[in-house]
Amino acid sequence: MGPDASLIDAIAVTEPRKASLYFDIKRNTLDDGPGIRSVVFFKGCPLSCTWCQNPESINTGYELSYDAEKCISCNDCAEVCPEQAIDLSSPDKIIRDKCTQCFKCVEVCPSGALEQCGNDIEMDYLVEKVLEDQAFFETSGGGVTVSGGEALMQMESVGELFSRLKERGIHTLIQTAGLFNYKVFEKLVLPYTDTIYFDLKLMDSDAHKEYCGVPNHSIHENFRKVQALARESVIEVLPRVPLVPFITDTQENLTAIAEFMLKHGVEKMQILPYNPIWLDKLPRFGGVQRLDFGEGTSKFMPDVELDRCIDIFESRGIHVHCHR
Amino acid sequence: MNALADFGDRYAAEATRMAAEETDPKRKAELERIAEVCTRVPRKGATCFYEAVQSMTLAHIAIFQETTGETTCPGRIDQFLNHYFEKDLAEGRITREEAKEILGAFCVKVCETIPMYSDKLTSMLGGLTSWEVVTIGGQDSDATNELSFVMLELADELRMRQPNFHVRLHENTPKAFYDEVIRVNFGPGSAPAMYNDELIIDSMMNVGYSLEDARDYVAIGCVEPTAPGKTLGSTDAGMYNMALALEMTLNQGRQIGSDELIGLETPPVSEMKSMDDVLAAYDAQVQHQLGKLRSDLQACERFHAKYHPTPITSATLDGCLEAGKCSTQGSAKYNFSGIQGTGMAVVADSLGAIESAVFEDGWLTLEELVGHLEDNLSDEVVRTKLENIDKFGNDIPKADAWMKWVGDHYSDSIHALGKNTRGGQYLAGVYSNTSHTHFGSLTSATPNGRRKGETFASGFAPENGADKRGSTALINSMNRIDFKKFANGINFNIKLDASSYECDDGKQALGSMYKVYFKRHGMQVQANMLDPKILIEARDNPELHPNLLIRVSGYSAYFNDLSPEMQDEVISRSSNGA
Repeated sequence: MGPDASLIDAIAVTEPRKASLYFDIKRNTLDDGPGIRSVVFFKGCPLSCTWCQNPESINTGYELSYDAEKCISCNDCAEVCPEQAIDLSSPDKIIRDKCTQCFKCVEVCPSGALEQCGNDIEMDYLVEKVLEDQAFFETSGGGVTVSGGEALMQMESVGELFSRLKERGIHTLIQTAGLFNYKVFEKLVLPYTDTIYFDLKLMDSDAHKEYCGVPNHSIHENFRKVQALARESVIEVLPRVPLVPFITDTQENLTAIAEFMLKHGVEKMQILPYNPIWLDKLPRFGGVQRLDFGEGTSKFMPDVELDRCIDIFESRGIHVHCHR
Repeated sequence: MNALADFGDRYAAEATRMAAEETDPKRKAELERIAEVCTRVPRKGATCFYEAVQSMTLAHIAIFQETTGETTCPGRIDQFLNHYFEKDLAEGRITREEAKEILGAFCVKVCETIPMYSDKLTSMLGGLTSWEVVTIGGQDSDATNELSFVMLELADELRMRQPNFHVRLHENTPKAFYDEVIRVNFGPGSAPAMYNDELIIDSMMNVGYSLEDARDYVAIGCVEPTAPGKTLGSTDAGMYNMALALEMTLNQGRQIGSDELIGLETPPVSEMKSMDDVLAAYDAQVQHQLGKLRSDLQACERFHAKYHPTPITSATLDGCLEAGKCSTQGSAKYNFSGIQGTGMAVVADSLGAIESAVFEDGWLTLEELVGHLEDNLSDEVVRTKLENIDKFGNDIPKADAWMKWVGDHYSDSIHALGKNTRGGQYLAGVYSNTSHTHFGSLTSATPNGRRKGETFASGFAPENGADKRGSTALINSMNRIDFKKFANGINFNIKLDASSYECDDGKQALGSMYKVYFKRHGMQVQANMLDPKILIEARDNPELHPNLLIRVSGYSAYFNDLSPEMQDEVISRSSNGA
């Protein structure tokens, strides 16, 4: 039992919600599992990785998102805001301290520049939404992926969603950062799950705490358990490693991950090359950039770096899947 | 027919003359072979594959000349040439490679023609093409054969402006052929276009084709299904700007901002108290315009019958020789005239916007709306609000229902026109060549948020940039349309980012997507598999990509042949997955 036990307990006692908190449903994705898929992005995550692809997904709550590119400066939002929290002539536009998240501005915004990030969705409606592409799932061997945030912070929702999808024979897949209450998972979600994409980021627990906000012991323990199920062919597990220059992509870290994978009988894994598109999202909800490793921060990863990383796994006999 | 036979003799004589002067023994032998073949065909009929292709070529040229060169289509050449090919192959007279070489030469020959049209016609029929297309694959249980594969290879390797390649697909199309179609789709030019046999055969039988004749259909010209050797289809008889009817609906039969009555005097918007009132005026304008169009078309039909007889064409059509009458006078087995509606999504999205803004949410009146249209939607808040009302192509049932309504209304209106002078029915089609840009340039601002002069979407597609929820959502929307009503064909251009789909998984996903579309009664689709950067580069520096093919509304043209506006339109066309 690691030092993050209290965190796990905290997740376990999360009040069951009537509705699920999500921030996006993306259709027609080809890189989130087999075939054509729809991905449900749940909001809220126990980790807070500095390079998070979806930084708007971390907080377990609503947020106001403002896209300057879409704004036509009509000022309707400022006029309707009861807190004077919008000033389009100021550099920040939104005065976040004053915003009480009433979202009256979103209602009047004609261009969609202002949006509420994070919405409650009833299960019936969520199922209906993801089934819009059922015909494509069936023909392509695709299905539904839950992602986030950390989808497994809302296990009642994921379990209910997946059980309804399995009734229709639809493939289900979880993308997880690995920090969840295994007992609850085993009971509510596992019976309806086909595949888990399980992120492994940093083997050194202190580094994990520094860059991801939490230590990694419980994550590794959960990995051991789901990987054991994979070896019994109960489910399919694909470990995935996000490459972040100078942080996760070091020879030392990747070697340690590869050795850890070998120890648990991993035969194939996926590498997720660093990409800078997360930077675009930060200004929209007043996020602070916590990661900066110089010029490369805003660039896609060069192929030669990617090859070096892939080789660390391939040379140990682990097959690497990587979409460049 | 004698002239056609003499035509072969003239080629034979010329080839003989050239052979005598030729010093290169290889070329000399080729010329002697040409002379020998042209002595036999078309006069005596083909006895082998080479002769069959030569005979087809000479007949093709003759018909092309007689009909002033529009839409002369060889048709299902993988079907009618196949028995020559198989026989020659079995008897060792030819190899697969030699057959491919001969067919390739035919394709190059077809590409030689560059029609010259007036500026006005070019603005609607851009791309300098004469729509000589071939159709491969298709039903007769399954008609896919080795020549179908050869033709696909030629489509892939030649990538010329002509001939266009149309592929017929159906439930029993072999997987290997389907995979090859998807693979070839990735090259520049996005050939071949794909056609859904099941739906198209149904749509043809709906307008009077027999099952047997419908099963043998070819997609001629841009996209028009026609029974070969039996039909005078006049498939591109008319093109119709649907958005103009909407404009006149909102301004008593006049264009917005104009006093000139060009349509029917319908009530002013101040008297329109419901959507029904708007639709009644729209219906009246459409009927009035189509009535005028029919008069014009029938004048053309009578002119053709009287002053432009087409004996060679007639000789190839069932019914004409029997009746002893020219096909222009209505003696072919089937007689149709096709009229294309352009601007369908503009009208559908605009009706949806009027319903939402005026009659549901009530944030502006119809008079205020017309005022904004007169003002070319210069109030950006109003324009943005209109633009953000749900649009066709996003899997939103209500928005899609407007598209279906506009489509059904159009098809019913065309069918209600009665018979053409050849005794056949008028058919509705929805493909636009390049008329969507031309008509757009003539049309005022529209309630969907489009400014004056901006292009419409091509064919049966959502307005440019209106579909924002990905290709599966787009296809769900498309499948809400009753395509059986469009027996003259539709074209649906889908632009996809090639890099998203070029891996094996991506190709499988793409194949699945089209299968879903067809299984749920889609009609036609052609994909532009593009890296958008290449197009922008080609627009700004034409010399960098002189041979960049681009599929525009049912036919291939080199990108550089298009007008600057059309290039912009290709670039801005909804780009899912990009």
